Amino acid sequence: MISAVLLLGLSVGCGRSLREEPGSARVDLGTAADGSRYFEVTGIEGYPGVGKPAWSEFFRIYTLFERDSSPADLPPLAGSYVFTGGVLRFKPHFPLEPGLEYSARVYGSPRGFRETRFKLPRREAVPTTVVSAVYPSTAALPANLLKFYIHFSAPMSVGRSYEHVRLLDSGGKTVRYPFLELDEELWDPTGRRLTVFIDPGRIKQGVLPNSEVGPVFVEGQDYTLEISGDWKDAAGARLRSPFSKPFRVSGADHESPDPSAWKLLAPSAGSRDPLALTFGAPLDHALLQRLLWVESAAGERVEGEVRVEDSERRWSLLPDKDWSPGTYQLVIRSTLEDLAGNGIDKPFEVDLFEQVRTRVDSKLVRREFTITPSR
Amino acid sequence: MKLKLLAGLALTCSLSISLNPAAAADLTAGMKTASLELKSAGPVAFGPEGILFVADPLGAAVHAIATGDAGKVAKRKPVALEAVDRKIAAALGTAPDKIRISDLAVNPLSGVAYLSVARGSGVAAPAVIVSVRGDKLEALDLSALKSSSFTLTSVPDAKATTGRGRRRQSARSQAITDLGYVNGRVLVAGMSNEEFSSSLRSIAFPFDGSGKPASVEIYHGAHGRFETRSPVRTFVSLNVAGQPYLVAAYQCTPLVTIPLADIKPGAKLKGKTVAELGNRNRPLDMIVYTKGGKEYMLIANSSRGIMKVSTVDLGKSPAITERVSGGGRKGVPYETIDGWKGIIQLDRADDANALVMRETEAGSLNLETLPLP
Repeated sequence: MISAVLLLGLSVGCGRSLREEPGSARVDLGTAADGSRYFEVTGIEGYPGVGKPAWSEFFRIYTLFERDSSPADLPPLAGSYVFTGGVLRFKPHFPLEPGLEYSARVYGSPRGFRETRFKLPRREAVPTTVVSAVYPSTAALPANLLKFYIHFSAPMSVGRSYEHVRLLDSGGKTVRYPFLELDEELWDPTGRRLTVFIDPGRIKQGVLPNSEVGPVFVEGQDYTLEISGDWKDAAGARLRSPFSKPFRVSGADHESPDPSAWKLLAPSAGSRDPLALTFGAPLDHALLQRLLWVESAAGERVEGEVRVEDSERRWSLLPDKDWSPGTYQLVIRSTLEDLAGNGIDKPFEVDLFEQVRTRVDSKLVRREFTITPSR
Repeated sequence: MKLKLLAGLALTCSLSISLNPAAAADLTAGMKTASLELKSAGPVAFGPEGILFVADPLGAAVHAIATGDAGKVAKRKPVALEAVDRKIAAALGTAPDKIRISDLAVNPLSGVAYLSVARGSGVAAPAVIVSVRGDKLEALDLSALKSSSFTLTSVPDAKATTGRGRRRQSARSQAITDLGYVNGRVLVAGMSNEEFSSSLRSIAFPFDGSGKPASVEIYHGAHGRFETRSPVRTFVSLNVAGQPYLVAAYQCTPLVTIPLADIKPGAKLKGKTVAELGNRNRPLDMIVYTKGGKEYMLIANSSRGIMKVSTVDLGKSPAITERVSGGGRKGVPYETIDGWKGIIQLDRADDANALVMRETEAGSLNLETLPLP
């Protein structure tokens, strides 16, 4: 409905001829069956040089960024030409942009052109998108924290993300260069979740940034992760509000999570109660969705809903079907990490001189449990 | 094979149609003209015969595009194109702030530059490859060009479940931080948006569907003591003492060398640290060139300008195993090139020149040919 209204406003109100070069050429903006727009030139019979040597010599569209700007130094709009039945159609490669003005020019003579301007109404950008969550969700983070996940309620604009995320110390001062700023920006495929890594050069021991400017976080200090409300979503609207996450920093964590120490609460057979797992310390929110699952004795994955709760200290599986009695395996991919990037297979940093634990070499770690009928 | 032109720039461009040399049949023979759909366009690099490799992180693929721009052009005009972002925006019918230029690669045969561009604001913004021939911009019509694609191996355990038994798309993605063509293989450096891991893949080209890519994990060993996984930000290949090497910059800043011969399936490699590029600095791009009979490497950095390093020094440099203190630089000596300010993209234009993208103080992006220092 909305697009229909816009199109009407566009065709009727916005095309205006500015130059009256001699000739009868008329340019209109049309809409194809698939909703795409095209420029149509009629009344061009008898124009000198029509179609020779190329249609682009005769008819071009320019994007105007500011009112009355001259497109002299800018290339014309990319698109394709079709000429049938005396009518020339130009179809832009990409949809026209609301709020921008386009200058359609018919070069009927070597002296000049006949110009018609079209402007698409600006789309009102209403702020509706919010920061829906930031993980880790706990307010106590290790000094060697590796990353934040920022979740949004709708796809965001990408490319200038680091300008909108700040880390403040307890005095409200901006911590300088805390993040690994990647040109590629680590978004999920929907554009709703951004991963922000703390600069690993300021976590790793013996690397230059850490030796020179020190780590990002100091144990015992308070910090705030601040997300600016000026950040625009993919539709061009600002966030509905800024977001802050205050937290306190505890000591650095250099230990790998130990699955044998996790508390496992097995449900009763015949029920659909959750299988619940409690960790000693929070684990990575994203990896918990993916690197931990349950298999039956036959090796089939138990399907269901995964819930990560209690500040990522608790993982539970609500099965789609009733639990059958029998033995099951909790399967953990060894790359599952805690908040400091310590994996099951190896800590974030291995001190080769003081290595005490033997590494887990297997890619999968299994822990068996039994489900029995309730008494 | 032809390039579809941005309307209005058509006249000069029919020359771009390749006089396809017979030898080209070898590398493009298995390619098809099959409406290649780019889901995204990240790093780009040229192989031989005008083949452009495009990293498509959203599509989890690497595409090889036979641009048809395979004729050798000896006499090349220098590029001096101001506000290239504005010009591309105009051609694509949108505002300059809705254009993102990811990378730049120069075809070594023709000197024509190719830019990977996203038109729009979100991750799903359409991807376009734009060529720059002198001051002429063209958007490649991928439906008219031959191409082949390699799908990067699927995400392990991408089976996150939610709701009652409904599987949803994994939120994991693999950013592609750099790619390059070296001795018949396409090397792809990546970084996950979840695990802090590194992956460097080596894929045989042509992509014939046979053979698995060699995937290696890259580690960093600080002082021969602390070992960590280390994603690669950017890399370049060169010969050190007659042996092919990758020179790579880690995300945590050291510059390392890795023998190409060591990139075998499942290998775990530790790069040899040859330089620490300094804190608060991101290496952005690297090129290798020869001048006066000597080989050099240029490194474009986010905050330390352009560094010039002799590759002979790279070969001679012992591994840095001690703490770097004081001045913040250690390892191979380098020279900072004055006047090359604000360079955010860099590629070799020809034997004597580089093509750079420079961000001006006003925030506009210019493309310029600069003589190699």
